[in-house]
Amino acid sequence: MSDLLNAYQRVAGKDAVDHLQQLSAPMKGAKFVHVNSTRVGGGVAEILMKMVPLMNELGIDTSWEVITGEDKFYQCTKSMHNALQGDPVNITSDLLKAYEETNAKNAETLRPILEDADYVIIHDPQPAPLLSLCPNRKGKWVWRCHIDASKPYPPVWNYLSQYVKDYDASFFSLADFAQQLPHTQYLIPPSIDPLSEKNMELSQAEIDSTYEEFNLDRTRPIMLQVSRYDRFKDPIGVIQAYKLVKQSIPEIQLVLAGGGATDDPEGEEVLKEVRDSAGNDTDIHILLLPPDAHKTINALQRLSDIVLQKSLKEGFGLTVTEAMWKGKPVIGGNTGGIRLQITNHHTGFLVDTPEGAALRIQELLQNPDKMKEMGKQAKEYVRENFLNTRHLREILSLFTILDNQSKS
Amino acid sequence: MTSKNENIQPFNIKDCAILNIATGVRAKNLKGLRDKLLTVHPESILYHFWAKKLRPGFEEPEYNNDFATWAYNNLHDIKLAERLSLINPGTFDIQGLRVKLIEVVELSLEENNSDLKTKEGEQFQFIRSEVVVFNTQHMISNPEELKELLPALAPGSIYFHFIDSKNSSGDISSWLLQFGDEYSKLADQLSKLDPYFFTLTELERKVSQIFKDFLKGANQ
Repeated sequence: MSDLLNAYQRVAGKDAVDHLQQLSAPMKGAKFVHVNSTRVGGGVAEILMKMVPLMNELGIDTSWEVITGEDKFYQCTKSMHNALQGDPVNITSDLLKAYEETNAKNAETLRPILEDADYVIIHDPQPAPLLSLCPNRKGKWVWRCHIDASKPYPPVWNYLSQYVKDYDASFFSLADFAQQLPHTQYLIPPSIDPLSEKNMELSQAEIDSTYEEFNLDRTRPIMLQVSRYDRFKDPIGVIQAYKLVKQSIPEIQLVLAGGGATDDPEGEEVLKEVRDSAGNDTDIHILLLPPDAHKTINALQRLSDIVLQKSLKEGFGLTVTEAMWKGKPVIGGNTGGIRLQITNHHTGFLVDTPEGAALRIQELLQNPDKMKEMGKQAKEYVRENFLNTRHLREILSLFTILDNQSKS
Repeated sequence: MTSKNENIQPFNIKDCAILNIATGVRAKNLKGLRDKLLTVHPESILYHFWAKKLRPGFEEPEYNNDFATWAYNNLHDIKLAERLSLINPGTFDIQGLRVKLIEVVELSLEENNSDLKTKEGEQFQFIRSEVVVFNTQHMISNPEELKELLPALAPGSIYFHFIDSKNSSGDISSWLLQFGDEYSKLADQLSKLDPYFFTLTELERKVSQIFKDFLKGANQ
């Protein structure tokens, strides 16, 4: 067994790796392609960064292709993303034209690879039209929706579904997100990689240097939210919760750590709103991190007392799982995939308001034993449910089922 | 006790995992649940009774099916949760199970005089699943070996052999019968074991105890 598989076996267990080897055996040498719209920033890129090498290690010839576009394309796909999360966004025909043309242009480059592939996963709406642009495809094509599409804005979903309906299957993080489609919709939550820079064990020296780098006081409690500067992540709500906690625990510090994804044009605007809301409070640390600051985020999660993900909408908050893996109780927004990730009162708390978040932050800070016990349960829950070995097992199972259906 | 038949094929212990599939069928209130139960695919009804056993979690252990857990967590109706939880799927065929579920839900609808509703995002989502089966390294040649191995088996193996495959090639009782008539008593005890009210850990312990008691008696 390779070093990589051995490393996964040490963390996830022998059975987890053994299942992957059994499922991948009939796929050895097969061409498997993932397509998304950004190589850095955001959860999808993070998942693929580690899943693609693991798939290759298992003998599946796996590649990761990224479609590129101009500003109008990203404006369109950001609007589409917001609309799928429920915002009543009307996308102009000009932007939709940019979306279609960008996909057509990318298809010119990608067509030979995609039409030759045995298995294709198209991630999210950005590259969804590629299937219709590859008429001579021979493999199984599956659309993966990472977004909380539980209540999509109908005109936008209707537009997108014309591209999605012809896939062999699709998969969503939760049953609430599944839509009416003429094919089978599988439910596969995403995952984290325990061996990545974001989640690996760190030395105390690395953690210590992070306190110094960001001028954090290690003698005082720290609450953290790691996420893009996006309104759906509710950074303003986190600041409100912090201000409420500050009234009774004046020594509290808040770290908001985020970066931009290359396919998110709204980030700067939201960042400005966040800075305005923080004002001159020197205990609020607003960090704009580069997309490759994985070890920094890892250290921030480890040095924090409490981690928040107070999203108002969330497909699946990878940062929730990352923090739980580090033995932290997480206070998360009572929405979307976070409900699946956090077991309320066992591995963290689900909250609906800044007041709710403030209550739970105070409750935990005043009860360190409870915080420790919750963190311990959180880590084990992630080990059993949200590591990428489980994720890949389910993806390979899905394609195995599709292959078997073709044969029968 | 040793094998009387050396021609018996070794038994390969399997493991399994479930892959969930959205049906698109949802209920946001009790009346909606009743309506959907009338037509939802039978596999989905069975899923909500059994798949919970393979899902690690911290849900209230006294409610051992998804319908009961939903009634408790989302409708906040303890009486309904208790009644739903008492329904043992092993004592009904699928049509009977459907009828029983509807009967319990309708009783609650009558008693409440109003339809219990959930908050947004707390709908009952009907799911079904595919079971994916794996080989394991464990190949057993006789019941004694199985007795020794049981405590070390993965939850998926317990689920597959003692719940999912009772009527298929993964059924251990059928294999045991090949060892001679005296094993029919052991096979019979395993067949009578009702797994519904046990967690997989408890089920493993029960099965282990049955094996221990039988083999001890047989060796005396």
